[in-house]
Amino acid sequence: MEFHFIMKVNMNKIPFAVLGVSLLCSLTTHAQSQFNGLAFQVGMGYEAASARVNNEVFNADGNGYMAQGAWGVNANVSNPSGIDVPFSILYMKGMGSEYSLGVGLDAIPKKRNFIDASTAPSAQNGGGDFVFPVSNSSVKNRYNIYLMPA
Amino acid sequence: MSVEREVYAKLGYSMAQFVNNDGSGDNAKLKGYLLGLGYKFMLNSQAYLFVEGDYTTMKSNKVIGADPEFTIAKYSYDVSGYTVNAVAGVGYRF
Repeated sequence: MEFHFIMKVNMNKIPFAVLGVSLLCSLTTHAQSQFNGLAFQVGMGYEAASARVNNEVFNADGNGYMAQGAWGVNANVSNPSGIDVPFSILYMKGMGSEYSLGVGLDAIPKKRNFIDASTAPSAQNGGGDFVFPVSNSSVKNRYNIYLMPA
Repeated sequence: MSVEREVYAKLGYSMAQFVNNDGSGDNAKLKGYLLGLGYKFMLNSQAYLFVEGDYTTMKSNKVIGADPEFTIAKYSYDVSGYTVNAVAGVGYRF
């Protein structure tokens, strides 16, 4: 008895397999446009974010913690979720007869409160009230640079 | 003329600025990577609509500073996190 294993490899799909999106690509009608050249795009969407601030407070001489516990070493704060309006510029180049490869730059000019001072944790030490050291913070000027197989 | 549609992937590098608004200037730089998938739908030979979803994970450098309103101590911090976003928009190719 003789067994034959036949594996058919479509060389054109290898880059997609590497990126783990070959199945999705095979399920859609693919553009044949070659998409050579520049493109500009603007979008609007929602971003859900989860973040953590690892925070340590020291004595002025750097030895030991000013206050542990209440100060919250490794305090867990913030929820910088919200609306995004990304602007993008792309350069696409046709690869073979079906696929394109591009490079792109997203600019996401958001300025979103990361930690609101009014909600930041506070602590009492030596008779004084202190707020969380990074108590009024924000995230801004986000950029993405990427390769874009399509 | 057939309607052109396109699925695309994104694989890249992401950066942002974490701004400490306490006046100390002790800001951090967030860096990370992103993975995304999108779907593009051509309206004509140049204009298109797209929807896209991205996953980004980022981490900052460790910042050591002194709070100007809290002069008897030093502090350090770093930030890490991830985001998931969904975007729809329009594009124009030249």
